[in-house]
Amino acid sequence: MKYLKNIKYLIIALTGVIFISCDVDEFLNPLPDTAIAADGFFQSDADVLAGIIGIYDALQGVNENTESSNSNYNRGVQFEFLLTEHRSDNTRSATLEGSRADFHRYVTDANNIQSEDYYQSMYEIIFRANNILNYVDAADASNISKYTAEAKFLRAYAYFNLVRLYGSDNDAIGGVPLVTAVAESNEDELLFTRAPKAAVYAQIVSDLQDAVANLDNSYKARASKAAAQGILAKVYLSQPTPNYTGAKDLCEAIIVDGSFSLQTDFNDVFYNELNNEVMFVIRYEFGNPNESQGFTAEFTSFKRQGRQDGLNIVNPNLVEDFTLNGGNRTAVSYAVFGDPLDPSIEVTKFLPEGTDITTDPAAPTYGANPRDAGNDWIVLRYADVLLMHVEAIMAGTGNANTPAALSSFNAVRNRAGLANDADGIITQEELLLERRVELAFENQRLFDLLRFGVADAVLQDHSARDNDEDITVYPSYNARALLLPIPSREINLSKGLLKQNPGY
Amino acid sequence: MKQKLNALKNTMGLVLALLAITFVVSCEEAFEFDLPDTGSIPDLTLPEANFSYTPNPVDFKIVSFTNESNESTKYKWDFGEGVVCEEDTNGVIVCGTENTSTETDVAFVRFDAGEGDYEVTLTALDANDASGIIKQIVEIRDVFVPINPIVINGDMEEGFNPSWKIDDTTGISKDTPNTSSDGAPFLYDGTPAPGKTRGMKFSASASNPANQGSRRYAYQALTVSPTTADRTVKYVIEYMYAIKVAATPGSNITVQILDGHFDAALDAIASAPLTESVASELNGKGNFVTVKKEFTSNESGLVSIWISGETDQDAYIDNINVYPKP
Repeated sequence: MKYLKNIKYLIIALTGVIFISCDVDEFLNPLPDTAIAADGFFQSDADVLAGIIGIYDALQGVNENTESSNSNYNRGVQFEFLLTEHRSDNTRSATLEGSRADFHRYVTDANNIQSEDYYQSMYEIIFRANNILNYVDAADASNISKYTAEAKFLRAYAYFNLVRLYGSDNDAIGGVPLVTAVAESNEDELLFTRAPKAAVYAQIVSDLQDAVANLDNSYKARASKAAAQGILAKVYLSQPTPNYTGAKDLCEAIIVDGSFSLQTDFNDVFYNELNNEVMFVIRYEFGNPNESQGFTAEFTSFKRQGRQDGLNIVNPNLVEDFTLNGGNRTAVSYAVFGDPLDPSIEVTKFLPEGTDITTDPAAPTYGANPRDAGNDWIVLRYADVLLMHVEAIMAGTGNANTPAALSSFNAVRNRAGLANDADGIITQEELLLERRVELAFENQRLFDLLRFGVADAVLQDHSARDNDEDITVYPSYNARALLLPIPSREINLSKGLLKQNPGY
Repeated sequence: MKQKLNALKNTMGLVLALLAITFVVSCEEAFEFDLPDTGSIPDLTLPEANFSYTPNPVDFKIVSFTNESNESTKYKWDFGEGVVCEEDTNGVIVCGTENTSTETDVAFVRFDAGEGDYEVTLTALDANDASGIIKQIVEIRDVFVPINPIVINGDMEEGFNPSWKIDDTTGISKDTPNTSSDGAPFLYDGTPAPGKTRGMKFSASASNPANQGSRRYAYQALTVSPTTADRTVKYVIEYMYAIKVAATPGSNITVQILDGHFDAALDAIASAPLTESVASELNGKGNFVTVKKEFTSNESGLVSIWISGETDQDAYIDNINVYPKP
């Protein structure tokens, strides 16, 4: 009886239990701590936008000054100058030590940490883009197509870099692995099969066409319609079978639109951020360890300011081209420091905040915090589009003389303080030279040489020069060096599926 | 004690005997299944041979071979009969006697027989001597494309200094011929123009051989593809002219292609031209006639256009063009 007396409490208590525990399913099947949380994360427009910004974060990369470990930190675009400018005839490393000094001597091997990082960084961008495309439906209906286009723009840009640096023309070897959806770790065939170069380009074109159709020109530091048009034009010029008409139409669409213009003063292109000439930039913030970059101090400073110094040292044959064709670009692009008898030629585009190179040319200073530099990295600017316009009109014929071509070409020359093209006929050599001095140190030269089909001839000549002061010949150069090796880490993970490029 | 030793002796004898037997037996069979590469795995990434080739821009018979083989360290090239590999374009032969090479790349391979299809074989080997082989047909073609020279201000629309001026005018007029609004009613590409275009005029005072010091000449240096032992390169110079009907018969405009570039007018006049075209029909002002004249380029490829008039009435020339003979 004593128990029965308390039965009402028992009933109340039991009822409580029933009310509380009605979500039995979740109670009995809790989400493991190690589960992928992405499925639950993207719930709102703001969440998707955060994911989109996260792709730009992968492109921006982690400043070496913040995380100095050479592994497992994506540097994004921050090592790109080593893979491009150093492998062209523009610049070199002053020292021969360390893996950063391998690129300019054409001895990069499959274990090169900077090349591996770049490869990994580009696939990180692709992974983040593929991932967000799965969850983009959580965004506001009016934003879905824009966010999709933005992710595709970034994916296309990463593939464009990868296929130009690592992709073989030989279909038996292939371009690069083409992954357009989030892959599971056991999908080896998908992850490690190199798709033919043409297939990679087809994907890039399709992604960028989507970006052109769905974006507007609201941003310069995020994907825009004009940036997509400009990069698609470059893709059309670069792909195995160039589409010159398509490239010309895109360049003309940008020119006619009139949103962009050349800066009057060449210096402003680099030091007046988000100016009217820049079309797509990767933003950095001065002094903020998480949002700054450390690489422009490495390649501009005369006295060590970055983690490593003496990179992007200007080659004498580039100085010759500047002397004859640089106009007022020369003084903005590089400067000669130190002992006049043993001078050092340093890049002066992208100098960190607070730099003073004029007070004492023998000992320039680089501000309080050069390793946390805030200089935006310019991916695409209007002068590049004008010169691509000429290239598209030239259409592989070796010269161009239409009024449209001359107008674009002379606009770039006139801004540099140079007269119009003398004979009214722009040859391929003249165009390549103009691009070289206009876009020096902006990671364009190697790709220009490849696109114009003269890379082997020019670099053969460059690496055989022995009369340039303080440059020895680079006997390791051969045509196979035009492609970088697929990082051996990837080959090892692929269980024999991923093929290496010839010669590595 | 001795007993023990004996016993030990017997045991040792037995042991020695057994050991001896073991040794006899063992060498062949005991380690048969214990070879040094026990536990190794087969090499599944075998060499794949591949190569590309680029013709020399100057001499089409010389080809540079670039090795594009995978997973390999040693190479053997076989270029076939009648082919020579050189150290440079200097003629020092570096190939083996059977036209083979074990270099990775072979930069200067001369196919002396000229145009044709040649089979080249590359064998790529790895350290285990596993090999891959490729045979490719190498096409040797003379794809000579002659330089298409550009005549500056050939349509005569601009002023003639400096485009049509020789540097040193000692002995002739210091001026170029007159510009004129009475040029040919044709555009530079030969299509009819809506009206007259601008042209070059030789007036009577500038075209009188009796007064050499006042004669005006037009000069322009050009670079064309040279004629070499391997080939003869032919070009055409084309222009339009008109001479007033009232001119004395024999009046003319003379267009020469000179052998070389000249600084001084007197040297240009004294030189032997590669070709000369004398245009002397008196069809009247505005009635332009097209003239084409063929010439063979010289060994240097440096030529120049040299134009003079010999007339007592105005004579006109326009739309001067030089192009490879089609």
